[in-house]
Amino acid sequence: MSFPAHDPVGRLIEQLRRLPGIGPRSAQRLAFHLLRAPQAEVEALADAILEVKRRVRLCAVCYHITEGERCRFCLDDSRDHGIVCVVEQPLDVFAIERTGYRGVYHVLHGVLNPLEGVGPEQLRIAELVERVRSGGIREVIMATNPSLEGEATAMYIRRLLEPFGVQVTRLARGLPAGADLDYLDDATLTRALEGRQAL
Amino acid sequence: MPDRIRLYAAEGIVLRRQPVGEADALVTILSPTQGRFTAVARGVRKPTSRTRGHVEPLTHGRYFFARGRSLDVLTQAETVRTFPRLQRSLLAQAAALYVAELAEHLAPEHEPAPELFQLLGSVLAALDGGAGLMAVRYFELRATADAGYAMHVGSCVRCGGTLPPEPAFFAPAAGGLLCAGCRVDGSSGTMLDVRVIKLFRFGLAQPLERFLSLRVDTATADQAARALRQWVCHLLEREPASARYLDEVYALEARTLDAQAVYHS
Repeated sequence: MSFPAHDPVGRLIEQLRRLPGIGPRSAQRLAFHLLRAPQAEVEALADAILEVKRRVRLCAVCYHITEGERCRFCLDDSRDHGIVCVVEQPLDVFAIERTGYRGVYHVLHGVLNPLEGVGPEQLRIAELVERVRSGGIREVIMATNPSLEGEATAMYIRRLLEPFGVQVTRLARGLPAGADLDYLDDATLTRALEGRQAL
Repeated sequence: MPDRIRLYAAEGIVLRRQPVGEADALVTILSPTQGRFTAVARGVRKPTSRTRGHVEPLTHGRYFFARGRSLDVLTQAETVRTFPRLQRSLLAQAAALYVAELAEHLAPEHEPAPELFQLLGSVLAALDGGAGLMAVRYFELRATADAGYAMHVGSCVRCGGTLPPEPAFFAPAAGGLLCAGCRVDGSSGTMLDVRVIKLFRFGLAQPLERFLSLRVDTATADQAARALRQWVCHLLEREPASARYLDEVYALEARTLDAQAVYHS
């Protein structure tokens, strides 16, 4: 069943369909869930959406999400500001935080994807180079995903940072916890063998 | 009895992987027997996926599929050959992505493409082995020829007349070189040096190994690159998405490497 676009329910379905991972059926289910939900619950959701758009912006230094001009990591003097961990998305910052990492971050907001036409100018790469150029950074940790695009981005940034003499490191690549050797692809196994460590 | 087999296997090279849904991906593969086709790889973006590493772009693998209503579904995968240097060399990887994109545009859908598959495999292996951008030039020449658009460089494409051993006008829209008599004012194209013309003739006739053994000066290689880019853009009716990235990487590498090293191994 389809709803006309000018119909309030149709409009809601249309807006929900634009969300990532939401198809037409899911959009309809969500719309009818909201229709049935108590007024206060729906208003709380609408307020939360509006508030996040009103108050959350990007940190002027690392481009992580923040409410102020600088994020809490950049404002934290107890962290090591000489080490910068470069990640693809703000969500990756939370993943790295779980490890107890005490340096600071730089969020690229994507990765190079030449086949989809995503080039360096669409990412926060120039801002990273400028940050390194301005001094005070000893090490840049490339924590992009171990995918083709993530590797391309890491290699591209490493090349750009070469003139500054800063140490550029890459997250180790190898066996995921609980993996079966039998099922691993050659590239992962090769990297794991190359990166083996003394017990 | 069903009228077609529900499960099938295909060897191929992954040209592209696009995320779809929460953890799935659309995988575009070039196979010698099935040409270009796209299948769904379910759960392949989960860290626990067993097929994840086998469907990275530029992986040569053996894949198993179940026929679906619209798209086939990848059920198993195993790697036949990887190109590890493409994960470590910025220029080699940018070049490999560019040839993969050309292959995707030029490959027939669901029709055998053994020559293109063979060519792509050889060029990726050459790039993996340290060959420079001359491998890309060879792919541009030969892949377009295999697709039915061989650049006409043996004589004038319009009158068939012999070309004297001097610079000639290359008109992509005409399909090759024009003699002085056939070239009309305002023709779109570029003048090609005799060395570039000879390079193209050689590439269209010789195997990859012999082409890569040529030592070509930087000016000739640059002119050949520009002409072949015009040729590709004309045939595809647009610039390949990865072309700009390849140019940027080339400019970046040319600043730090000897220009000869960019073109040659």
